[in-house]
Amino acid sequence: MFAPEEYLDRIASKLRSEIGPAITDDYARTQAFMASVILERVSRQITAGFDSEQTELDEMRLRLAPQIGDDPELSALSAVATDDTGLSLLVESMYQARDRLGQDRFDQALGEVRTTLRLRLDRSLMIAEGKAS
Amino acid sequence: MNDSDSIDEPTDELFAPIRTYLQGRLDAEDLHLDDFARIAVGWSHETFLFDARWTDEGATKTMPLCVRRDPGNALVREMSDLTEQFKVLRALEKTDIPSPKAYWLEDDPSILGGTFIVMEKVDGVCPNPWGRDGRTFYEDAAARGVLPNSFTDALAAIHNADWRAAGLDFLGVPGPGQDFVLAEIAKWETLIEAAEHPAEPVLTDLIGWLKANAPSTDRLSLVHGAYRTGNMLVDHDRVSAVLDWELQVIGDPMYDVSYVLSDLNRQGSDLLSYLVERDAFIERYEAATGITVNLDACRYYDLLYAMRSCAFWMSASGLFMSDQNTDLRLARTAFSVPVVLDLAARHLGY
Repeated sequence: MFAPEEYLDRIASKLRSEIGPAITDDYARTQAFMASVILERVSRQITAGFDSEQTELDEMRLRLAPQIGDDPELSALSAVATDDTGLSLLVESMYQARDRLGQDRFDQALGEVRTTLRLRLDRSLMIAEGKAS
Repeated sequence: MNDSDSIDEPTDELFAPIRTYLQGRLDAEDLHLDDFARIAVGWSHETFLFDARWTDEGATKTMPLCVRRDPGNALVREMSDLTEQFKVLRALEKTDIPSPKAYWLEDDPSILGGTFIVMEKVDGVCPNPWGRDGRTFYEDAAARGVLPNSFTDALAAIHNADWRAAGLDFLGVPGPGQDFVLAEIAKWETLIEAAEHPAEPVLTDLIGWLKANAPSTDRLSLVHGAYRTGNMLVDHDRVSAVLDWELQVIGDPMYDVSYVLSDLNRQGSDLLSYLVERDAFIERYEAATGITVNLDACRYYDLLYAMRSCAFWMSASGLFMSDQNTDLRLARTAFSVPVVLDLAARHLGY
């Protein structure tokens, strides 16, 4: 049996090269092309996988510890930042804690999170554009 | 009898209701809507263009008209209602800003199924700058040199307008300091929350940065909010009407200037909006307004536009995911979010 992403690629290709061009109605033809674009990206999403994510987040927590280890709220949020929702909460709380942390510590801590965000963003870009940033 | 009388009526389902409505408005039993067309522009309100023609005391009268209707599932519908647009267009008639006259506003859904406005159909074309033909149109006009000046002058007219005298203070007048910027951030945050898009931590970072670095606004103007080619009509190399009065605010004029200067509106071109040379724009704008372009503020607003773009795309894909709009072009916009966030992250240094 073909892998799901291979199915999606083939359907996308058929939509783009055969089905779309055969449609005379402008709106419906555009929809066919859009469907092919979306299926290609979903296929990339499946291919990309998420194997490295947990390791990246563990490393981020280790790098963050010296900056926020003595801040119970941020430490707790860092510990549960296991997905985009958790990371968003952590970033939002860091901005709210900026005065408490002081500018230097804030910059360093946010910088550590941004290193991880960059890796995640690169993966999203690869899916969206089909290339690494 | 005019030739068009013998042509079959358009099949558009709104042709007959629009004609019936205007028959009453114009007191014209024999009303004809010549060259009736529903134009496909953007994902906002539906637009219909035609020339109304009728007989009054033996004389033929004509009136070029445009109808804009809220389809109920338009993009950024939360912040772009036709009632406000109508009031803005009416107010603009008291200024030097080239804009269509607004005739009637109707909010009775039994007429066309949603709120609509009837306004003047202004002469001119509106080439899409994102297409090859549109880009060629603007680059050819740039070479002739007249339209770039008109583009700049129309923006200057917006920023020079006496918005209080025109009655535009109903848009909300920000207080001093950071009030304008923080209100603008809050407005777009509301749209992001309404979209129910999965969390984007880079966007959270961007919003945090925007709030932490919000500049003060020391001069208030009418701000169009999306001033670029594609949002205006061009007739004989001049801006005949500034369109898309959907995101206007009273605020920092640099908010518009930043949008003009932004790379977002000139991908692959040295010309701002594919039309205007940067230095020439700044020089002419400053001379026409007496406002010095603040490039630091513009860089800040460029990031605010990145937030806005994310909000747009999240809202668009949210419309699709919530079954409010089945257009797959909206679904595709979800993949534009990381592209915009990449620009923002690079601005923020990562």
